[in-house]
Parts: sequence; C-alpha cells; structure tokens
Amino acid sequence: MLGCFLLLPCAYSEELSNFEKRELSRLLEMDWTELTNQPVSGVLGYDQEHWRNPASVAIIRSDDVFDGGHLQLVDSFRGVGGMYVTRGNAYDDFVTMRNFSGSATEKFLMLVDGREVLQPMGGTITWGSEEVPLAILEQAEIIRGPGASIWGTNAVSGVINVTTKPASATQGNSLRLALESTGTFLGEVVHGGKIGEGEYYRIWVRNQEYAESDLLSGIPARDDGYGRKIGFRFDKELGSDMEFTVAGAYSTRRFEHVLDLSSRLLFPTDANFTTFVPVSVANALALPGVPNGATYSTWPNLSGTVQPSGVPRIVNYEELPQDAGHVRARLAGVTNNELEWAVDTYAEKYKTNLGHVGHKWDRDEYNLEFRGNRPLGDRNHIAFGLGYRYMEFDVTETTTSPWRFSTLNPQTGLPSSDIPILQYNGPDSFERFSAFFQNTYEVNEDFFISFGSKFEDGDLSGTTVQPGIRASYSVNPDNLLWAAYSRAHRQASLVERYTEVSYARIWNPLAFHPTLNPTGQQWINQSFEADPSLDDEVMDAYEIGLRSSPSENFLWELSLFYYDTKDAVFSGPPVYEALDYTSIGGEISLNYSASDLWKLRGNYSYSKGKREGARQTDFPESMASLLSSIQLSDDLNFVQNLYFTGERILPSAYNELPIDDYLRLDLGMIWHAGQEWQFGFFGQDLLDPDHPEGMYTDLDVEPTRIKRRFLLTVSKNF
Amino acid sequence: MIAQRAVLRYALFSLVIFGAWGLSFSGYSQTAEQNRKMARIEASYLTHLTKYIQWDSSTKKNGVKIIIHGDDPYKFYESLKYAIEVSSGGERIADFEIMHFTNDQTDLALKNIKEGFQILVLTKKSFLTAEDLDKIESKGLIVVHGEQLFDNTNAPIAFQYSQNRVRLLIDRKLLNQGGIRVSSKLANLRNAVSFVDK
Repeated sequence: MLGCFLLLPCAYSEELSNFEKRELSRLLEMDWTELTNQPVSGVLGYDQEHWRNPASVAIIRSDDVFDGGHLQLVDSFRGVGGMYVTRGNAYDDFVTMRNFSGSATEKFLMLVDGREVLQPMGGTITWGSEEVPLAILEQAEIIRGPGASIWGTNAVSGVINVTTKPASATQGNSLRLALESTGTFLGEVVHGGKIGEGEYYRIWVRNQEYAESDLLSGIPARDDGYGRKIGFRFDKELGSDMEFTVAGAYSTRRFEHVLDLSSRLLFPTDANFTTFVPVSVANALALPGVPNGATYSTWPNLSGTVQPSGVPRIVNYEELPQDAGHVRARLAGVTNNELEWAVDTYAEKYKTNLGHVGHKWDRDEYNLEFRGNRPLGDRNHIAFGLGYRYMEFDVTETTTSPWRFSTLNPQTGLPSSDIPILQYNGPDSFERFSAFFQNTYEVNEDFFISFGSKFEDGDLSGTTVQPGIRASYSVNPDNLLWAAYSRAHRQASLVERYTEVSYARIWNPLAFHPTLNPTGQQWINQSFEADPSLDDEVMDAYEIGLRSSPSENFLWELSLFYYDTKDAVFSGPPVYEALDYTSIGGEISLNYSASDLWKLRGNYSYSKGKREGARQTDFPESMASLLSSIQLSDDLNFVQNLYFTGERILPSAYNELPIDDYLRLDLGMIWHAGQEWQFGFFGQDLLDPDHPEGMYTDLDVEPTRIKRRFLLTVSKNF
Repeated sequence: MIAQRAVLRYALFSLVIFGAWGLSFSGYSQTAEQNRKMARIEASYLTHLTKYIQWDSSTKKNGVKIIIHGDDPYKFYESLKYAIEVSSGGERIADFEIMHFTNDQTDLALKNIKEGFQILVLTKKSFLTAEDLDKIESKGLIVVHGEQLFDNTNAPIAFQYSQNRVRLLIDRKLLNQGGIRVSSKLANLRNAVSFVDK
C-alpha cells in the first residue's frame, strides 16, 4: 500500500469496486442518446465521476425534480446537505450554503450553460428567471466549497452548475403541466426537430402563474403574478471533431413588491438623538413634539400591526417588472492530439425596476471565453482558459410617492422632496479579464492531485490570484479520502460598494433657530454611504472528506469544512460592514438501495458561523432530509420525503423574527403510463397547516405562510 | 497602475495562447481514469446493443458467447459482465458466456474464436491485427476500437473516441452480411449512432 501511495504504479484491483458498480448501474439507466453525451474527461470544471471527485458534489437530474414533486429546480436543492432553501413569497426563493451568507445574498456562483447568473447589482440570483423546462435539464451539479481555481471570483461558498441537454437529445414533443392547490400553475412545452444531417434544434415555452400567498398575519401578500420564458437552441456538427451551438432565451416577470415603512420615520426619545421610536408609536404615545401629519402627508396609512414587535404596520407596494434576454454561442472541438477546446460567448440584457425602492437599471453584458483541456503524458490532465467580460449599467433612481415630502438633505444642507432611497454613484461600465490553469496529476491509480489557480483582473475585484489544491486517495477500492485547500474571492455587490442608501428620516422636534438649531422642526434624511473601499471578501477554505461504499447498494459520505473569511460583507441594518467571519461544520449523506424496489437518500448537516466571534443566528445550524422512493409496481412509485430545518432568527432593524424549527413531510404517488406519460400527485408540508420560512429583511414586512398544499403534475416525455 | 494591469493582461493572454499552441504539438495519451470510464461506457453500449440483436433459435438455446481479446487494465471485461448481469436483474447472465483472453493467451483466444462466437470484442490493447481479423471465418459480430481498424477490416462495429465522448460506428451492410439480424429500432437511434458505409 505504501508503494501505491508513493509514486510507484500499483496494481489496481481487477474486481470492480462498489463505486464502479454504482457508476455502471447509473450508465445503464441511460439510453443511447444519453450515453453519447457522457463526457469521458471532466477536468474542465469538476465534471468528473462523482465518486472520484475531491469535493462535496451533489447531482440533481430531472427525475429528482419530478419525483420530488418540485415545481422549480431551486426547490429540489432542499434535499442537498448544507443547502438552506427558503421561500420568501410566491416568487422569491433564497438559497444559501454552509452558514456563510446571511439571509438573502447568494455568496456562491451559479452558471446556466456556462452563463453566470448572479446579479452583480445586488449580489442575488433571480431564481425564477433562470428556470428551464424540466425536459431539457441535463443536470444541476452542486459543488459545496470554493471552486475559485477554475470558476473564479464569487465561487466562494460553492458553485451550482446547471447544464441543459443538447438539441439532439430532445427530439419530438414534450409537455409538463402542474397545478397546485394554492392556484399556482406551471406549463412547459418543448419541441425539438432535425433540420439536416448533424443539425438539430429545439424551441420551448415556460409559463408559471403564481397564486397569491397570505402573510404571517393573515393579510394577503399581493405576490401573485407571472413568470414567462421562451427559448431556443440549435446544434450543428461541423465535421466529426467540431460542433457549434447557438441558444438563447427571453424571460419576463411581473409582480408587485413591498417596502416596509413601519420604522422609517423616526422620532427621538432623548435629547441626544440616540434612541428613536417610529413616529406612529410616538403619535400613539402622544409624545411631546410629535410632528403634524401634514409634514409627511404622502406617507401611507397604518394597516394593522407588525408582529411580534406590535409596531403599527405601514407598507408601500410598487410594480416589480423584470425582463431578461440572452443569446449564447459555442464552438467546440478536439484536435488530433486530444486538445479539447471550446470558445463560448454570450450577450445578455437585463432590465428591472425595483419600484418599491425606486431603483431601475438596465445591464448589458458581453462575455467571451476560451477553455481547453487535454491529457499530457499518461499521468497529467491539464485544463486552462481565458476570459473577458464587459458590463454596462444604466441606472435610474426615482423617489417613490411616500417619500415625496420636504426633508432636509444633510449633504446639501437644503430641504428637498426628491431624495431617492437608493442613489447609485458608481461607474457605469466594468471590465474583467481572467485566466486559469489547473493540472490533475495521477500519482498512481489511487492517488490524484489537482492544483491550479485563477488569475483575475477586473474593475470590481482588482487583481487577484485564487489558488486551489485538491487531492483524493483511494484507501481501498471502496473508500476514498479527499482533502482540499482553496482561496476564493467574492466581490462586493454594486449596491454594497457604490450605492448610498437613504433608509429613514428623523424628525427634529426642537424649535428652529438659524444658528443654534438650523435643522429644528424638520425631517432630516438618514443615509449611509456606500463604501467603495469595501474590498473583496477573501476566504481561506479547508475541507476534508471521506466517501465510502461498503456495498454496491450503499454509499455514504462525510465532508468537514472550515472557512476563514476576511472582510465578509454583511448588509444592514443599517450599514454595510466588512467583518471577519468563520464558518465550521460538516455534512453526512447516504444513498442506499434497500432493495431493487426501495431507494433511500438522506443527509444531515451542521454548521456554525461566527461574525467577529459572535454567533451567527440567521442560518439554521442543523438541517436534515430523508428521501425515500418505493416502487409499488412496474408503473407505480410511492415517494416519501422528510425535511428538517433548525431554528433561526430573521434579522431586522426593529422586528427580529424567530423562525422555529420545522419538519416538512411530502408524500407522493407517481404513475408511469407507458413510456411517454407520467402522472404525479403530491401532498406537501403535510405536518403543518402553515409555517414561515424567510423574507427579504428590511424590505418585506413579514414572511408569508408556506401552506400545506397538494400538487398534480402531468408530463409527457420526448 | 493602469499600465501594470495592461501588462498583466497581456502576459496572461500570451501565456494561454502560446501554451495552447505549444500543447497542440506535444504528445498525449489518456489517463487511466479516462480509460476506465471509457471502458464502462463501452460496456453499457454493448449491453444495450445485445437487446437490439435478434438472436437465432440456436443461440437462444445455447447462449450468447462473447469473446474479449486483449489486455484489459481498464476492466472492460468485468464491467461488461456486471452490466449484463445488472441489466437483466441478475437472471440474464445465464444466457451469456463471456470469455476474456489476454494478449498472452492469443492462441487460446483464436481457438475459441474458431469454434464460433456471437460477439468478439477487441480491447484497445488487443494485439490482433486487421490481417488476423480477415482470417476469421466464423460468423459473428466483431467490435473494434478506432476508425483505423474499423475502416480496414470487416468489423461492422467500432467504438470511436471523439470530442470527449464515446460514440458507436455501425456499418449496417456488413452487419447484415455477417448474419446478424438487428432490430429496426436501431435505425431510430441515428442521433446516437453513426451509421457508415465502408
């Protein structure tokens, strides 16, 4: 064994290991078309065989989404260890990993067919805009832990790499319909065809109509609306060693969003202006010096109270349109000596108007990337690449109607009725240039080392070097140990870095005096400046894992991690601060085929985050899931999925909201009617009539009730 | 600062371009990990293929004899054995006789080939040449690796490694000449299989 470990080639067992048997079983479930799309080498990215990966990787395929009764891909992430998925309202989902990113900011990288979908303005992902029909989904590969040495900036707490099938694999017509008892409806239609020899196309439409939810207090959430999307793809073989792809999509979403105004107009309760209460509370208490309502006549009326604080509830709803379109092209090939290469380019336009905060922007983005990989000798496999990105922003701020009353702007010293909530003061264009190199070295057939680095130079992140090293060692054919060290950077979002936020106004009750109290008897704007000096968050991540398959029916994994982050940015309330942050934890997962008819998947994850030494409470420290599928007959499956989420606290400037731990039970029956049709009936969240999960803190006033519901789905395969 | 960044960008760009150019001339081979994965994919293909072949009554009665020739460090033989067993729920293996002969056992392999076979697979490391294959008189399906052996022999099927994928080349005319009756459903798999006329 020592000989194997040290550079000497060792005799690999002629018997198949349990890992290899599992992999073969997976390949056998594929039809011919899927087999032809199986990459042999996966050094480009981390698309290696799952069991050899020196990382925590989970793969979600379209069957997992359908069999789990999930309407959207993002819902299926609930079954992945270390992933925390919450629903804010009907159309807002939040995903965070490994107790690292706070409530809403997704500090990981997500790619859809190589296109980065993280919004640089707010550092979030608009999940609904990025959904694709289930029939064209190849897989979502979820890599927990930094992947910066290949993926680069923002691949901090993980990478989600979504890929769609080639057009040749989606020939014919496919349909998916889903109706939820809440009234939410989903329809997807895909059509694929062949134009000529080696030329395939597909077109698709997706429409999701969102039913209105209830807020925790029982008030309608006004979150109904729609998300519609169309897309296409064309693939052409250019000879035996080259292929060309052009694809694109356009999505449009229409909703309303709320801004919580309950604690935005403040009244001082001491002479030094250090403590405040909302002016609505000051009115109710009849505190002396409370301003006349005429001074803020545009302010909305009270509508109940906010729980648990009991503060009078004041909200403003505005339109939230989001339109996005992109076109991408790819030319890929392989040379006679196995240099596999690809040139990818895409152009994207994204338009949104966050009407509730009066912040509208258009983003034009252009990306060009070259990637290559090839074996070098019989022990090395290198991957390398080069990329260029250009982004342009057109930002417009408006003052929403509630705020249009005379307020002293301390920066100008003048009263104004036109002070927007967000004032973007940053550049309107950004460039980024990047290159990476990585080598995977097979020391022997049991011991692999991958090492490399990404180099980036950009207007946002400056010049960075993001190295990583990963190693895996087969202790024996059925047990694999792996370890990794990575350094990753995350760039602050444009809002965090360049946007001044006017979050409140304070009434000065003292009498006006031109010299002694020039701000007397006036509203005074309160804002915090963006911080252009907010540096990249720099994370040093240490990971270790064990993957074991004691039998071909049983696989279990243990992953442990420690993240040490400098200058981690946390938004509000009320300022953006760069703080040191540590996160420590692990996940244990299992995959067990109890028999040919009964399959089980489960995981438990624990993570603890500390911000400047203080415990982070907005991420549940314990989470678990157990997914079970029993084949009752040749065409009938019974699924039982159980999810546990530990308690957490939703942070807020005035109304912290504890979210109790909750247990979710989903049950479903799936009927395969012949080769083409599938019918599914699911009951979801069956243990509780409803529970809260999450919200945009300081924007939403309260979370919605995630209700017990039933779902009927019908799908027709190609 | 701007000048420094420009230099850095230029240096990185040059490094990658010249690196890629240089690499396109250097030697290569596939890593063991890649080869093992290819062997598993090939075993899966072959397992699927056996379902498309309409075996004659004699074969149905006596079983399908598959001979694998050539050194097999990447466990194609073990993979095929397991794949056929799994794909039939553990029962079908009784209908298949799978034999493996290394290059050192070529004489024994040729003796068995002469006695008849349904499928003969040459591993990537098989020493058998086009001339050796031409001498085979027994009827059966011959599966080889790579376009070169495929083009120069009467083998109707080949595994081809291209664009980081394993593909299957099939010459239907030769297939029919070899007395192998294949389900017409195979023709529906044009997206996944390359049909060629040699």
